[in-house]
Amino acid sequence: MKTISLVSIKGGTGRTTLAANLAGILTHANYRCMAFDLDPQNALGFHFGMKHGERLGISQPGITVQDVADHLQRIEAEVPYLPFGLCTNQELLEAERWLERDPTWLEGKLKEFAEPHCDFAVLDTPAGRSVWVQQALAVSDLAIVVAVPDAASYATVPAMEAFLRAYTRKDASFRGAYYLINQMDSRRMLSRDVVSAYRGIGSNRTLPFTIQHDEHVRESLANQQSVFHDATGSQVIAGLTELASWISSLFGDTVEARRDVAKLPGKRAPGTGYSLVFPK
Amino acid sequence: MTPNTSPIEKNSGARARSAALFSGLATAMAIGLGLALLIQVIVTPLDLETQTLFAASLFSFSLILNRFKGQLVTITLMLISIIVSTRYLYWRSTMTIDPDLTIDSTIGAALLFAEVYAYVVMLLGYFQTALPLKRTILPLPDDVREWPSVDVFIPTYNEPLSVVRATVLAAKAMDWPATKLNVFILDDGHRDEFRAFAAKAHVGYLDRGNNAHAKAGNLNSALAKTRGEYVAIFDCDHVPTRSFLQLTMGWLVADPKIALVQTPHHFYSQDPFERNLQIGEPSEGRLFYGLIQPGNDLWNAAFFCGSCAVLRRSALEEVGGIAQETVTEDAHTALRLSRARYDTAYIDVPQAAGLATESLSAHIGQRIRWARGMAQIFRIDNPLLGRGLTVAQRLCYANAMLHFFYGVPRVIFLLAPLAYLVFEARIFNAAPFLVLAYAIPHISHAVFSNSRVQGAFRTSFWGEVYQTSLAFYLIGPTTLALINPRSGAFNVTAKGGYIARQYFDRRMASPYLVLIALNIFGIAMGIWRALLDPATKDVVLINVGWAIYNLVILGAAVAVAFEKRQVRRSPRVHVRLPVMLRLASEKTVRCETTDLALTGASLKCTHMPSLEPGEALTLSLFIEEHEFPIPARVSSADGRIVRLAFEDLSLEHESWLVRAIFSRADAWSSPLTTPHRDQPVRAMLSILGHAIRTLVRTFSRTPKELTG
Repeated sequence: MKTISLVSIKGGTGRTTLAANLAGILTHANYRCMAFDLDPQNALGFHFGMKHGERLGISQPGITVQDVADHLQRIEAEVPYLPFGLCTNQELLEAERWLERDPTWLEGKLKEFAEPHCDFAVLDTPAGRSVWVQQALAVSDLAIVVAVPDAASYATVPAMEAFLRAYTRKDASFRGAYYLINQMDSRRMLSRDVVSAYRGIGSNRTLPFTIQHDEHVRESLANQQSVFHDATGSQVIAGLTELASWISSLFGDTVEARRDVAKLPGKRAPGTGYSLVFPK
Repeated sequence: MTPNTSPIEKNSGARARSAALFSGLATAMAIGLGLALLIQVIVTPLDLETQTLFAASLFSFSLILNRFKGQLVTITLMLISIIVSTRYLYWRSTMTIDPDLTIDSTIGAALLFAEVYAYVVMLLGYFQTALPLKRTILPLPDDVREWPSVDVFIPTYNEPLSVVRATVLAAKAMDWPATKLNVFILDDGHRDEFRAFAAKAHVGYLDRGNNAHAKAGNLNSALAKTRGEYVAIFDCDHVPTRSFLQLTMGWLVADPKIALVQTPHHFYSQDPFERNLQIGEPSEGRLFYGLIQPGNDLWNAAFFCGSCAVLRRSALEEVGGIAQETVTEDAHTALRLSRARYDTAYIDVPQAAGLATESLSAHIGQRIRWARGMAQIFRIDNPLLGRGLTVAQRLCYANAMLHFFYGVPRVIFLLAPLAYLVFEARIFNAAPFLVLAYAIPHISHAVFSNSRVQGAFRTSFWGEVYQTSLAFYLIGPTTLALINPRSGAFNVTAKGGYIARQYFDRRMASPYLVLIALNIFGIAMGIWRALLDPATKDVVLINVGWAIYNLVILGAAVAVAFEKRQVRRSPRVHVRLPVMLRLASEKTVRCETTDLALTGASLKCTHMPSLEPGEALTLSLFIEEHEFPIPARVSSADGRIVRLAFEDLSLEHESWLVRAIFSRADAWSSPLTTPHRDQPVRAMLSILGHAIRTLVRTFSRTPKELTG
């Protein structure tokens, strides 16, 4: 199983949406993929049909695999995921203290929930450099830094580079950290200039494609529909397909590809996604 | 022999010497025997049955040989064709010529002259294309600091700025260190519009204030004012790719003896033959750029074609710049470079694309200039004479020039059958079936071998059509240039115009309509004559057959004069590029281009958005990892096709479009499909089809329309 983290120092880069859509496209390509929300904002699940008030989450101490499977079956999930869970401030502080004491906490959780059946685990992280992101980087085989094409985002690159150096694994199993430009609008010259700046970061550290700013994405979320249903002809899907192809070829030798990533099938039957991960 | 050599050495030395002597003798004897045999084959007259048998078996042998691939087989077939044609010509000149001087024999001599011309051109052509050099691309040194400086000259006279802009922007976008690349517009039209454009685009603008010696003078004037080590020259409508210099400069940097690297002239628009006759691949220029120039390259005789080439400045200056004495200054300059013992190179990779001649009259005008120029060179700087050239170079250059003298021989061929049919002139002093028995193998082997050698670059028989459509017009200029090479002005080929309505260019077609009428008249006379006197049946049949063949070729040639509508003004290509539409609603749609031009685009979308005509949106082109947004407006959106119009593009937008359309290194390389396979019979039928259509269309018009 390969673990992919989506990180960024600043908020508002579209990390959560991108994580959901990445998990979606990998699932559509018939990879067994599961998404994990490590952000206390607990927003990832809304992309998959989670209802407000759902308490289930990775932050819950006693959560089991069966709990998750039941939840997914109940909401007829296309893509299997595990929310962060609803926490009070006190519970959150305790959880963070627990993480500081146990650097292998996330590793253990992934082993329990994802590793038996998954090809990929996609981790959504909170903005910043908190302990959640530190543990996510430590267990990741690939880190994608989600950036938006503005100057403020680019200004965080040095800090991010230092952060990545400190917390990602040093061995060859870590395939690298790459910058991905999200919410691209090329009509703005500033956006194009910032993208050029990112591309100059160093040998192909920035992915050669972008994810477009597209109203389809916000509408899909508002309608609680998958962007794969509503926006099949959009550039966002094309960009996500390129991302999935790129990931597939990066890990090509180690992950068994089930189907050509470039071809997306139509609407998936509900429940088919999670059942790949949680066989009955 | 020194006294110190041992007996063994003496012995082995003697043995080696006698072995060499013996093998030398044996080779000489073999060659002598072979020659003697060859001469026998060529000169021995045979009676009808034996000749027919001989010809048939030789042709069958050739058919069998043709099943094998390989250049050696091709050369063998060429040799067989040469033998058969030499045999024919020998028989023709010894057994069919009436020695008495009569009108008939004079006409017969004229026909023989035409046949000898065709034979010589065929021989030289075989020599030229025997072993085409497939020159590969030589990479440049790794260290970019070693790359030399290049000046890019874009001469222009009266072409519209809308055509020249793309060339200038693309030249500027070529991959080369910016400090070592200088683009210059050489404006012989002295136009402010061009000066302003050059300033905006940050390229050089040179205006010499006069027009002496046309393009050659323009280029020489620019040479005097610039300093780049190398000079790349592009016609103002030839848009280069980004990789042009990277693919051509390697040879120049590596080998100081090379003075010229020439690349093919590729056309993204249709020439009159393609457009009016709707014939597909291969296009008319493909024979020259795909076979003849590579053939020339082997013999170090590849020559400058005026555009899409890079020259070494020091070599140019040594020969006195671009030659100004003739109207084909390009070929003449190359000839001078060759005489100065410089080498030339040709790389058959299209790295620029331009506009083909846009109407039959423009095409004829261009070819007249080439023919005149080649005749001028033939007179004032004949490659067969003078110093500095190898034998092979002389033959190749000579063939390039002799090619343009086909006007008179071609018209002779078109009129020859009338000599007997109308005037009962006996131009062949031999029995009719014997004539066939010698002539048919000669023609068949020539067609067959040419199909083998040239088939991938030129469909059989279409060469006849091309030549026929130009023949009449070349006679005057070439003859005049031969007599007085200094006469005649330079006429520029018009570029960038367009044909608004379909029409029949009767002025251009009229000489051929006359020839068609004459041939029809001849056929009618012949049939009448044969009915009156059945003894002449055989001769009449042969000449009528010949006249019919002429009609077919003439018919197809006239068909080119039916000009079809041609509306586009600016460069436009059929290319499939992934693009994106961004709508006013901030939603995006993924599409693919089918056509792209500087004025607009046609797109295919798998998921059609609902679009209103006039709606404003943005089209994004993806080139490598860059995205280029172009503001556009919807012209129409129906079914799966969206048509967009680009308005008020900034220079930046325009340069992006130019890059998307023209600058990709593989822009003009066709995908790896099987090469064109020549099918002579099918080609003939296709020509026949065109001829019949032409004759029907011509006769369905009133005489007033035809003669105006």
